Amino acid sequence: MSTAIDQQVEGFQTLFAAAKKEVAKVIVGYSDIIEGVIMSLLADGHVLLEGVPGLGKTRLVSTLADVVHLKFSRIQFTPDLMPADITGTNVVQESEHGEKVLEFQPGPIFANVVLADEVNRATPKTQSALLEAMEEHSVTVGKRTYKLEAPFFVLATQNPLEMEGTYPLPEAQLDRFFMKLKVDYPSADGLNVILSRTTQLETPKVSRVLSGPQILEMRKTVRAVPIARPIQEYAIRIMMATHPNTALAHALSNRYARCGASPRAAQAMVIGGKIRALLNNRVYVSCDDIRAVAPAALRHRVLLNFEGEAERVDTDSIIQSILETLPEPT
Amino acid sequence: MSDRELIIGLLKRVEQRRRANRFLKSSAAALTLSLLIPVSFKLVDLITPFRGRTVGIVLAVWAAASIGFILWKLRGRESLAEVAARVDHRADLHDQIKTAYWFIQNPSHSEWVDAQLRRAARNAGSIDLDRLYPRFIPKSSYLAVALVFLLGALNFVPLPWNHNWLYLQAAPAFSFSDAEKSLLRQAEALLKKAEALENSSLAAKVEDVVNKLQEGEISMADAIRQLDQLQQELEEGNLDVASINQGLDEIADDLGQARPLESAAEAMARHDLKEAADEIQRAGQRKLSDAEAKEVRDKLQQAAENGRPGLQELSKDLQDAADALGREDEQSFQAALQKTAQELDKLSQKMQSQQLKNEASQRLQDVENSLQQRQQQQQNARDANGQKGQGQKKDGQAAGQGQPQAPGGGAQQQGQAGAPEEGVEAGAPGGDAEGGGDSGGGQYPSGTGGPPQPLYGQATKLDVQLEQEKLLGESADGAPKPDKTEEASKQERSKLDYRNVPSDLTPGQKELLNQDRLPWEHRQLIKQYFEEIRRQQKP
Repeated sequence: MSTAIDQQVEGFQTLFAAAKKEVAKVIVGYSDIIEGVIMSLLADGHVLLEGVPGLGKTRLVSTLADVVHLKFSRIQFTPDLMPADITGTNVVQESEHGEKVLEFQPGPIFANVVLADEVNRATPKTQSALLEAMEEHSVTVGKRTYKLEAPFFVLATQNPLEMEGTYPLPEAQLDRFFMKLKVDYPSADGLNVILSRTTQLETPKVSRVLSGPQILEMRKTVRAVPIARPIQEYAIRIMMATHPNTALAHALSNRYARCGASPRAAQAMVIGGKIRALLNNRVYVSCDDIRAVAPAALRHRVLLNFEGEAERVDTDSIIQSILETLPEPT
Repeated sequence: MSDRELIIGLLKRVEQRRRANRFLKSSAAALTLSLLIPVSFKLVDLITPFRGRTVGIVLAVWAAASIGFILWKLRGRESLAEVAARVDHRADLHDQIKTAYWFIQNPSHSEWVDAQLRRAARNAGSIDLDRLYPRFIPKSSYLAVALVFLLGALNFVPLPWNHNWLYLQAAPAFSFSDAEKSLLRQAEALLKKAEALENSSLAAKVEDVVNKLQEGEISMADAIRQLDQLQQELEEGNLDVASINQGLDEIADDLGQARPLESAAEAMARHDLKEAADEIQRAGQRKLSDAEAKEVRDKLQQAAENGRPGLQELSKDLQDAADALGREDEQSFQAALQKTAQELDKLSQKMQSQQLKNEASQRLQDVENSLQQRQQQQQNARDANGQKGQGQKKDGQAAGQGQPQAPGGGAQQQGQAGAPEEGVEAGAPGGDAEGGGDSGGGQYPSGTGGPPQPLYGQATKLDVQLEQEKLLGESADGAPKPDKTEEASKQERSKLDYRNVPSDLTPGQKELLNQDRLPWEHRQLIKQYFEEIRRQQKP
């Protein structure tokens, strides 16, 4: 017998699959990345895409913007980019009566889907312009605060190779990203398909399958999924294991981590786990769900110490070790 | 049945099944491990037999430890939350049952939770417990069964020194040879017969000594000493049978001269005292003429003058009879003869008992001699081992307590092969029989050691082996001259214990021989006397 919950779950899966399918028309491979990006969108979070140039990060975001039928804006971060270039500013306008008035000109941040391309090229001051928008979905200019329209979704990209003229993202901003997704080189088969699609006359067309209200409805569905306390505690223990020099710290965290993940990481794991549970036709969160989303939710929140940086330790290896050694709750 | 009941029911059934399987597995594993102990113990027992007490204690401790170990392994019960986690893992349910159980324990009014419980209950209902947790027989149980059979089979290994624990048999502390057993049985039988005649408890004492020796409560030396005491008890109050027989012969001669007493005298001469008693009674009932009465009175009077030891009562009765006849008191005469007959009966019983006791004493003496021989042989073997072990002592200082030696190994008793206790306990530095030092010893298979044993010299033999040896002689001209002569290569003593040679002497005679007839204070005087005589003879 099909219940309302079952129908809700089924509808969620259908919309998710449709969005993923549409994006996959343009983006070859990267199934996990596409899924992660859509998950972040449905979790009311933001995504940091990290990868070398030319892997289709920007293309992915723009395609997603096409699929979700939302207002899209793109900000190319450069060293001379100013905060007002993002948030907008008050400009002097002449009214109909000939009076001079200050009128707010919204910046590109005022969109539903914002692509912050090469976000680490801007100065920290400019990067910080995103903080309020990402966390509070609002922008304060002068004495006024402007609310951003929901859904608000920031996708930032950064190049891990170029160090010259870049400014690493501050910890506070990193923590505001729901997930950090690593975009690797495609496989040979994937490249064949990419070449076939991009070197011919016909370019794939995507349909708009998700609307803003649908996304908001899906976000409600996600948050309605129950989670048992032991599973929630499992997520907390994973998070706590990244904290160096604490009772629950993992050995690798003690050795290589300077700072562990914040509670936002646990929130990300739980919400991500709920989405994954729905995608797997479950109405509860399992430890598998938590484990599946943990790397993406934690990797940018664990900060390495000097030793870790010197030995070029990958935070993913620390997280993987934690997941392997931490026993499941009973 | 509600979703909650369905889930809880499944978890309870799984918990019971897991507990049962765990019990089987733990029990079989524990039993297998623990059975190695009695099997090893039995294997050691085949080499060095253990006493019943040792076997009992070891097996009791083993059983208690095994039960304790199994119970310890079975302690505790899994919580249903743990069981739920295991079911999820086993059935690949991705924490569905575990989560559902948590929601059951922590109810919340949510459609999502209800949906979760409904789905979990549906899956729980479809779980086949026998497929998820099938009943199984642990592989270790086969090994345990094999060990049990091995343990049983080891009890039936046809070795003379193997003791079947299944029949509650174990090695005694000491075992007699067949000959000794036979002698002891005979001695006990004779003593029991003797006891039927006289009230004593000598047979029980013999049995007590035997039992104590077998149980290891006393050493062989103690047993010999106690048997010796028993013999002394047997010999205490012995009658001088020869003297009595001679006296009876003399009385028979005297009585035979009176016609009415001829039959009694003949029986008495045959030493058939019961018949003699009957005849005397019959004679007393006869009517005697005056001449016969006088004749009888005279002979009774004559016989009554025989005052040999042991016959005083009989002489007195005969005297009473003669006196009564002299007084022509027929009633007293008959009473006196009746008493005489009773005295003869009593004498007959005493002599019979005496004979049985003597025979029993002889058997005990044989057993005692046999034990002494064994003791001496063991001592000799120990000495020999000690000599051999001198060279090994440097290497074997570490070995302390004597270990019981394998039956049949080391210095085993001649003619008594198969008795596990007969092996000399080496207690040797170096740990083997040949490294025997002066430690260890005793008749105790469990190696506890006995009291200090008397020391004896080397075994000697009567059948001296002679061998020719060259002796350097000296000729008249002073030049050395080889001479051939025969001499014993080695002084040896008789294998035959002189105490085993049957003696014809009566106890009285033995006592006489053992008496010290020369008082100490006069010995010097007598010696001087003989020296004076010799001095006078020399010129």
